Amino acid sequence: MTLLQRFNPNMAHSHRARRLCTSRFGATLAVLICGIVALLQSSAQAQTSWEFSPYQIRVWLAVDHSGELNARIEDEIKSTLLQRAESAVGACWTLTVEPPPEELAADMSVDVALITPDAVDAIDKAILLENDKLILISVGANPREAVIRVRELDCRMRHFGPVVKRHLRQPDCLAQETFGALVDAFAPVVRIEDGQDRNLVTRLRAGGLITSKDSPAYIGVGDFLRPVVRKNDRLGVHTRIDVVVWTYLQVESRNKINPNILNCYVHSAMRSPIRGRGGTRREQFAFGLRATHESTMLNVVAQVRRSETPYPLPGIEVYSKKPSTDPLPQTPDEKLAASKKNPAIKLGETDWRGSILITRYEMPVRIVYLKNGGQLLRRLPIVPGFNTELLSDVPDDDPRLQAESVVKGFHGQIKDLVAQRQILAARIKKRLGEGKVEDAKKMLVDFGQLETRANLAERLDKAQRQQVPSQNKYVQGRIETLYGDTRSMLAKYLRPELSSELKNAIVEVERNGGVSPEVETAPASDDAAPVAVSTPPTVGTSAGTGSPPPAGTSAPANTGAPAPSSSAPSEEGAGLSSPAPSS
Amino acid sequence: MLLIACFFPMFAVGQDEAEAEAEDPPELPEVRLLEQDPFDLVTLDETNKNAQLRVYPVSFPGGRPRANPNPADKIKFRLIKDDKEYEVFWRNILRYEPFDVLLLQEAERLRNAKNFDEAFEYYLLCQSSYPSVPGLARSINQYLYLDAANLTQNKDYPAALAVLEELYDRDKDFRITPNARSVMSVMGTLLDVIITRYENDDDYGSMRQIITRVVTKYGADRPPTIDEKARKLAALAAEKREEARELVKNRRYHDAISASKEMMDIWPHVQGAKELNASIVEQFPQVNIGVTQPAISHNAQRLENWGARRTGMLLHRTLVEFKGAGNEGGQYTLSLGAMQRSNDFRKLTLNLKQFTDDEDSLVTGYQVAQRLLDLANPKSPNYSAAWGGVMSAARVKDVMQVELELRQPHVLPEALLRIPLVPVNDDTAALGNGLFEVSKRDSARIHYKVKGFEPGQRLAEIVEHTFEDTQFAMSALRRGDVDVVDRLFPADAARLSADLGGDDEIAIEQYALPTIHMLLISSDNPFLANRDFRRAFIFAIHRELILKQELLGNRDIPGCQLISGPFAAGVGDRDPLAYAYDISIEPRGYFPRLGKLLMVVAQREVEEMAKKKSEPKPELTKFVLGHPAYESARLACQAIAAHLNIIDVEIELKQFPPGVTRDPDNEADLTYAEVAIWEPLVDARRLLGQEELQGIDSAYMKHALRNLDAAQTWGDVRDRLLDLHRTAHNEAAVIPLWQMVDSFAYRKQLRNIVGTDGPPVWLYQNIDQWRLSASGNAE
Repeated sequence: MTLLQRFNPNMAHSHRARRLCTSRFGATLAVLICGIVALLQSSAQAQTSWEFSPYQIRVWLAVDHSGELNARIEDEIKSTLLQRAESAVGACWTLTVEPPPEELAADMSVDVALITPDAVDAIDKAILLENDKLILISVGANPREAVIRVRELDCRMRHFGPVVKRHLRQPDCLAQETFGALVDAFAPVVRIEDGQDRNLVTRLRAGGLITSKDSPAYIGVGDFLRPVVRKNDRLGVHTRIDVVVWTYLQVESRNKINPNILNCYVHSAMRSPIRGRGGTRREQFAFGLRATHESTMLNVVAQVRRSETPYPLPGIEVYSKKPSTDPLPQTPDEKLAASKKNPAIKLGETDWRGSILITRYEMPVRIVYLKNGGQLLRRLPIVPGFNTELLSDVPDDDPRLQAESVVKGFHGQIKDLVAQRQILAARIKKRLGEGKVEDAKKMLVDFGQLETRANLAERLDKAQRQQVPSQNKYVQGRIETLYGDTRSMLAKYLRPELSSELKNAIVEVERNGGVSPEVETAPASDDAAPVAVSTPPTVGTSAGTGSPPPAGTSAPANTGAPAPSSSAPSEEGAGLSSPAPSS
Repeated sequence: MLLIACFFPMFAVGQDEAEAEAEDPPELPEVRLLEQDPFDLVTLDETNKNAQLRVYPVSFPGGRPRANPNPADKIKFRLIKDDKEYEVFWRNILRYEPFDVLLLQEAERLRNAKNFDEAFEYYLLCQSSYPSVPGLARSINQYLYLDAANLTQNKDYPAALAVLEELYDRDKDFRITPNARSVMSVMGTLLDVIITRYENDDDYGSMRQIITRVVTKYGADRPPTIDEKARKLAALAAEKREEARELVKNRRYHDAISASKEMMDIWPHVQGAKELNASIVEQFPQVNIGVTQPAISHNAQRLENWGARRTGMLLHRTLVEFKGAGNEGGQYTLSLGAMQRSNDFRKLTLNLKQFTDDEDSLVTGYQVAQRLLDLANPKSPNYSAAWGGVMSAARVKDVMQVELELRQPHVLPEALLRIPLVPVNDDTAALGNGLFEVSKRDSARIHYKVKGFEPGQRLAEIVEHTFEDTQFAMSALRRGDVDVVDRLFPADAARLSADLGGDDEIAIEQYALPTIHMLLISSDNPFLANRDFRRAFIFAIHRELILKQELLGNRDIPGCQLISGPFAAGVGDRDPLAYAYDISIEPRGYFPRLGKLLMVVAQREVEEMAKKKSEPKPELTKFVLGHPAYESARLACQAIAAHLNIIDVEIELKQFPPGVTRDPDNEADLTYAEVAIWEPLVDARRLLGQEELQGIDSAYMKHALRNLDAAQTWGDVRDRLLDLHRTAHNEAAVIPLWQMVDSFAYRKQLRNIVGTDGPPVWLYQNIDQWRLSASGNAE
């Protein structure tokens, strides 16, 4: 079995099977059956090999001899690493420790982050082919302290882990501390084998050799993993390797029959980030996560055209929730229940740089919501402390917010105006009922001085002309909807006929010699004459004051829920003592 | 008898009734004579059984009945009882007593019964309505004499003296009996007793006042004992003068000032008093300020705390100082030198002074750059988001020059640098890096001492005296106890200005910039989080009425007006710092019905929202309105509470401790605040951005503020501030009330309080120029 087969026997046997099929296309049925049986056997073998073969780990140890560190210390570190790997980790690691190739030693002693997979390939292609993990350790010293830097390179996925740093002042602890850093840098691997949507089945590498939950290779329920996808050409050579961004797997349970099979839930900013089953052309793995920093700076920038430079978005509201493996809520009630069960916490707002610091939390992953004026822009799973910085681009929603601000102002004015018109109309009618035509006429003059629908519409048009357009068509669509809805509201609630109706009523009373036809039925007291006032509805806007974060994961729709109708206080004093009954 | 019967057809009946009444007196309470309608009393002769008839007052020639009328003559009168007219011979009339005589008789009866208070009422009525009643003047004099005797007997000597002085003014030769002592003689005895009592109590001030008054009023007629007492006072004052001189020699200036004040209190006319005061003022110039808002903390940045703002600069030096309004925003000076902006608005250069008065105050460019970098560092506890968003780099050149590079053009970066030179962790601390330090503090006064004072310096100490209200402070100013009263509200200033008349020792001056009064939303009450609800409050408060009647005393004072937003409307049309105010937005009117309706609608919205979230239904209970402890805030809040009560909003008023402007218990839902927005460009965020003052959580306000932060030209600034004004108006982010122009009053002996550039923005703006002249404390 070649090294490649050992790492991924499944793939190697698939190649072999394919070759059989193509070269002997017209073979007999018996041969085919034999082939299939052989394939199944090899698949079973592959699973067994994945679970029961140890991680082949090669450690490059670079000790800077320029300081107080000498060859003896280097030997001590080396022997300690080997001894501790055997005693603390056991069979699931096969560790070799050696100095780095001369070509890379200088870079490594400066910073392990300077080494790239291509640089390793350039030294010897076999290094990445023969090993599961290449771990780079650099130990340096200054007059004050010793500094250990460790970084893991997953050979198959050509994926670097974060740099783990240790500073220490006790030389006696140097070897032990180096081993600790190595363990921290090591990321256990699972292979994604099956599943769909939000649920995946994975298999733990070397799971059969793990004897303790404290083993660095162990992954348990509740742990989080980071998926990586490798795409190969026909020859199995990688063409592209991508970390699946804004996506994390949470181990939900272990298979009862085979505990090395882990059922995972997918937290992702995307709808379908990972296809369940991989193949020879597409390999899917996931790595264990360990935050190595105290926090992560999330930088939010605007989505722009390719030719433009993204600019930071300050003032983006950032909320956070615990990751939940419950099904996504669909109905408003489900959303409400979900938000109560798992409430969102406001972390703050992005500063002038579009940045916000997200600190580590009780769980490694936090689901972060980016909102602008209540409008959900992004839902991002984040592991605070895993990266020092993250960048997220979102549509620049400020033009929509500006439009909403303007429109909300109009809503307030319309509401005030409608109420004033209704109050005045009620008072005029009451005066007419009492035969006080002159008083009614005076009030009609006041009525005429109120702002008209035409004025408001003109001002709304002007505001829309001054509105900053958005480059994003969705945002622009929302803006146009806001203005359109407000126009509809104007038409619906500010009837110009009301003025002429009142005039006609006065004329009619005058014709009747000051007696209103309604006098006989007019209520005796002011309190008994409520006039229904339909207050304008609230056009769907999202920037309510102190609005809570979203309950679900999708952007809240503009509901356009109407405000409750109310009854106006009917006459002076009458409505002021207690709220009028609802109409 | 027959004749009488003919003329008095009803008399017999009346008599019978009178007898019946006598037998069976009514149970009604007796009405005092002076409260009855006027009547004359006619007493008939024995033939008519001495019957007494109450008749409507008869008009006699000459005003009253003749002393000896012809018995054969008849008199016509109308009986009150039956309102019928009768005619009676004078021979049948034993006595005719007009109403005024009856009043005087009653007054004398009460006086003789030592019921002086009630007698006084009768005398007062006689004097005002019936001054011609015979014997009134003599009777009053007797009353005064007997009243004084009674007060003396009760040991109320000052009151007795006052009564005797009144008697002396009426008739200085009055004697109760021909052989009795004169009024002045009795007064002399009383004065002796009174002055001796003051002397025994060491109350030399009262002693001096009474002696001075008697000497001034009675001149040569004064009692001889007065002169002796005056000499005694002068001797005492001379002792204090010598004591003060000795203390000045020993540089114990506080004690010297106390001794000098005692001297002035005892006998200010003592020889050498003026020179002594001049000497003290020259060696230890102490300025006394009367304040109604004491400074509990000292922070020049506090927007809403007058006291903290006033004294902040005394204790903490700021990098940049605001000097007043300029053509484009405020005018600023670098306190440590000079500064220059580049033409492209992307660079600010600070040139620090190399030479300072003392080495300790020398600040290098490295220190300034370090401070500014610290402010811009998000990880620093002193981080300022506003400054961090502007500065990109700081570079020190030649030790004393700092070049600041800005991320984007900023029209007024120096406005962001009104920061203490060193971070202030506790703004209540007595010591900062300013020129002054708090040397003594109690509930009545705070002493701010000049650090390292040496005799001969322009200023040694400022003492802020706390007064309950402006009236007390102004009285102290008139007495010379304080040199400045730091704040007069417009109505007070106008009234006092009129009261001062030709007083050429006191001046009243307006501050350069107005203050904005508003209600801040200071809790997360769900109703107050609703913009309709907040708007309802605005419609329900008759702000114009409160401003005009309660605060301005029905005067029209330029600069005092209603406002529609959180910025100053300016004083006059050309106020440059009114650049944030959109005059096209009218203040909302007083529409309580609309307010009530909006409140009902908003209430339902809030309840619906709670229902949707499955939260308990919020109860509309009383709101707590907190206000600082000074008169105008108290008055305004009482009126606001009354107005909101009309729309069924219950308000509980909560007065903060003196000098405190935010609720220390965090109970207030609304807080009355008077805010100083000197530079809207940078102060807008501090007021509305929730960093300093709680305010409402509104995405629209935040958006408008972010837009303002990004403004790069004055045109942008103006447009975006107007947009911010409109957004704040729409959102009712604060409940805007009015703009006020405040004043201060000062004794003219304190010079340079008003600088050459015009009136100051805050009281101590020109303090390094203040000079107290010697005559300031001397009478």
